[in-house]
Amino acid sequence: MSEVILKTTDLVREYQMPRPSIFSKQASLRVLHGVSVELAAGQSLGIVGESGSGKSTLARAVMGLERPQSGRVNIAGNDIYALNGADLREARKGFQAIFQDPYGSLDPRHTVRTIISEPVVSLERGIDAAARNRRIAEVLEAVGLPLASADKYPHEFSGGQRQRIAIARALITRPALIVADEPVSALDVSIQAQVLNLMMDLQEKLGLSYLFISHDLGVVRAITDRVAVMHLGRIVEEGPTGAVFDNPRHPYTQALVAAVPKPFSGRRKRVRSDAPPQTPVHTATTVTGCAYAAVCPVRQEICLTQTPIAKPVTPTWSARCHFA
Amino acid sequence: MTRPLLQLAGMSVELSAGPSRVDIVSDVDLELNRGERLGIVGESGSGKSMTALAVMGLLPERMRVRGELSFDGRNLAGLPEAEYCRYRGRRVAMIFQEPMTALNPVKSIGAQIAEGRRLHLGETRADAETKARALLDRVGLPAPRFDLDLYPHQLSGGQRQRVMIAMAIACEPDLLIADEPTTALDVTVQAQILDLLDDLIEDTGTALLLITHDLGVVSEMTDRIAVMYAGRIIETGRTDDVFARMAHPYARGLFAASPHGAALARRQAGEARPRLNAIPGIVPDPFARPPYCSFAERCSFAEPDCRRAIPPLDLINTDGNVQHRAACFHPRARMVAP
Ligand SMILES: Nc1ncnc2c1ncn2[C@@H]1O[C@H](COP(=O)(O)OP(=O)(O)OP(=O)(O)O)[C@@H](O)[C@H]1O
Ligand SMILES: Nc1ncnc2c1ncn2[C@@H]1O[C@H](COP(=O)(O)OP(=O)(O)OP(=O)(O)O)[C@@H](O)[C@H]1O
Ligand code: SF4
Ligand code: SF4
Ligand SMILES: [Mg+2]
Ligand SMILES: [Mg+2]
Repeated sequence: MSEVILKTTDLVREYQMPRPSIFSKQASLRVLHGVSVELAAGQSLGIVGESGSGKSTLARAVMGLERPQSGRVNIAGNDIYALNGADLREARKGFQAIFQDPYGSLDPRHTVRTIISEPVVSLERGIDAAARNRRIAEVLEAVGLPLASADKYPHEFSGGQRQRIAIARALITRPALIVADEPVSALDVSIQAQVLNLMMDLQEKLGLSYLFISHDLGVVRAITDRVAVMHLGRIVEEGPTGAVFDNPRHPYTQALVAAVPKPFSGRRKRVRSDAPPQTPVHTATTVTGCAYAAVCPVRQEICLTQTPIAKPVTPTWSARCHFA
Repeated sequence: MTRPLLQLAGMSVELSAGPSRVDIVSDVDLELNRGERLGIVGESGSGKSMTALAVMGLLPERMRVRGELSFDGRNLAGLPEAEYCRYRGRRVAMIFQEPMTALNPVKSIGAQIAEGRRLHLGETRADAETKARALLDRVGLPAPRFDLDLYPHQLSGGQRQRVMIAMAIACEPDLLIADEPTTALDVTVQAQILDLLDDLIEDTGTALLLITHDLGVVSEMTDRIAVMYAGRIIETGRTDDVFARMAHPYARGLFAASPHGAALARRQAGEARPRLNAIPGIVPDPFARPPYCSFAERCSFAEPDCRRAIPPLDLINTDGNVQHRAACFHPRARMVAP
C-alpha cells in the first residue's frame, strides 16, 4: 500500500443557526457527522453526493479554512489543526485548492502574474524575484499557457483558460495535494475535457493527489480512482469508482446513478405527484436510525431503530446500510 | 397566424471597445411559442448568456442589440428601462448562471423570493411570504430547516441555486430563461428541479429557453435545440434530429468530448487513465473572428472553400414542420445514432 497523503478522522462540523428569539437557545446544525476519508499519494478520490450534504464544508476543513469542532485532518503526516503559525505556513505549501467559479475566483484588477504568484508570496516569504519568475514560467508551461499570458488580466481569457490560470496558481507552491471543488462544472464539455486531460497529465508527471468534488458522475468516473458518496454529512458508500458506479450498494448511490440524464434517451418520463418532494435535512445532532430512511425505497423496521454502520462489501469497498 | 411569443430575427449583440466594434452575438434567428422548450448549447464564450441577457434587457454596458428582438409582438430593443421593469420578473424571468452575483447577500431569502409577487402582483407581505414558503418546499428546501430568514451565505452552492430558481418562477412568467439552472445540483435534486420546470410548463404554458452544457439534460428537457459557436447558431432543429445526426463538425466534437462517451471504459490496473476527446485548438477571440468559417482552424473536415466565406445556416432536412439547419459547407450525413 502506498503512502497516505490525506487522512481525515471523525470530522464533526457544526454551524450555529440564528436564534428565533433572544429567549430561545441558539440552535446548532451538524453538517459533518464524523467524516473519515483516506487518499493515497498519487491517487484521486472523488466526493459526490447530495447538494448540501457537506462536500464543500469537508473541502474547507481539509484546507485548514474552517476548524472542525472535533476530529483530525492529517496531510502528509501533519495534523494541520495542531500546527503553529510558522509550521502551518510550511505545511500549506503542500496543499492548494481550486474552486468552482473561474470568473469569481480570480481578482479582475490584478495581472495573471500577480494572481498566480500570490501563494508563493504569502507562503514563501524569503523567495527572490528571479526564483519567483522561474516558478511562474514553470507553472504556465505546465498548464499550457504562453508566457506572455502573465501580463494580461483575467477578462482577456475564456472560461477554460481562466480555469487553467486557477490551476497554475494552485501548482506554484509545488503541492502534493490539490483539493478541487467542482473545478469544471462551469465549463462546456470540450473545454471541460481539456482541463480534465490537463489535470490527468499533471498527476502523472508530478505525482499529484486530488480530492475532487463534483456532481457530474461521468467526470468523476473519468478522473478518480476511488469515490466517496456523501449524504447528510455522512459517507454512505466508499470504494473503487468504476465498481461503485456500475453496481452501487447503498440505496442513495443507486438513486444517484439512476438519476443521471442520458443523451439519446429522449424526453424524460416521470410520475407526476403534487406533493412537494420529500427532503431529509440536517439536524442538530445525531439521529437514531438511518438518516436516509425517510425516503429509502427498501427501508425496514430496523432502519428506524438502529443506525447503520459502514459494512464492507469487499476489502476496499463499504456501504453504510443494513442491507448492503 | 399569431406571432411567436419570442422572436429574434437577425439579432446581433454589438460590443464597443473604444473606437472598435465587434459582434459578440451575430445574426441570430430564434422563435419560441408558449409551452415550447428550446435548448441552447455551445462553447464557453460563444454568446449564450449574452443572447439571454439581451432578451432580459440586462446586457453589460457598452453592448447593444441590433436587429429584431420582439416579445409578444412588441419590439424590446431600445425599450425604456422603466417599461422593461414591468416585463422583467413578471412576463420574462431568468435563472442566472451565477447565483452568488444574482442574489442579494444582505437580504433574507424569503424577502427576495416574495419581492416579485409584492411588486408585480401587488400581493400583501403575508400572502407573498406564504407563496415563498411553498416555493422553497418545492425546490427541496423545507421548513423549518430552511427558514425564510436565512441569508444566502448560510446556504451551500446548490441551495443558493434553488433559491434563485424559486425567485424566477415566483410570478409564473410567460417566458423562463434558465441559464445553467442545475450545474450546482446533484442529479437527484436536479431531477426534482426538472420535474418542477415540467410542471410549470404544462400547467401555465410557460415557454422555456434552457441554456446548458449538459447534453443529457438538454436531450431530456427540450423539443428543439440551437448549437452556438463563436457568436452564431451553427446547427438547429428538433433535439432528437440534431442528436441523431450532428451535421456540424463542432456539434460532433462537442458530443465526443462528453464524459458520457468513450472515456468511461473500464481501465485495467497499471494502465494509464484514458484521456477525454477534447477538440484541439481554441475558439477565436471575438475581436479576431475570421471572415470565413470560424471553426475552420479546428475542423478535421475543412476544405479550401471553408476559408472563403462564412457558411450560411442552410436547410438540410425537414422533420414535421421543424427545419434542421446547419452552418457548414460540408455537413456530415452519416447518422451517429438511430
Ligand atoms: N455559514 C453557514 N451557516 C449555516 N449553515 C451553513 C453554512 N454554510 C453551509 N451551511 C449548511 O451546511 C450544509 C453543508 O454545506 P456545503 O456547502 O458543505 O454543501 P455541499 O455538499 O458543498 O453542497 P452543494 O453541492 O450544494 O455545493 C448545507 O446544508 C448548508 O445549508
Ligand atoms: N462585460 C463584458 N465585456 C466585454 N466582453 C464580455 C463581457 N461579458 C462577456 N463578454 C464576452 O462575450 C462573449 C460571450 O460571452 P457569454 O457570457 O455570452 O458566453 P457563454 O456562451 O454564456 O459562455 P459560458 O458557457 O462560459 O457561460 C465572450 O467572448 C466574453 O468574453
Ligand atoms: S439502512 Fe435501511 S433506510 Fe438506510 S439505506 Fe439501508 S435500507 Fe435504506
Ligand atoms: S464549413 Fe468547413 S471548416 Fe467549417 S465546420 Fe464545415 S467543414 Fe468544417
Ligand atoms: Mg458545494
Ligand atoms: Mg454563460
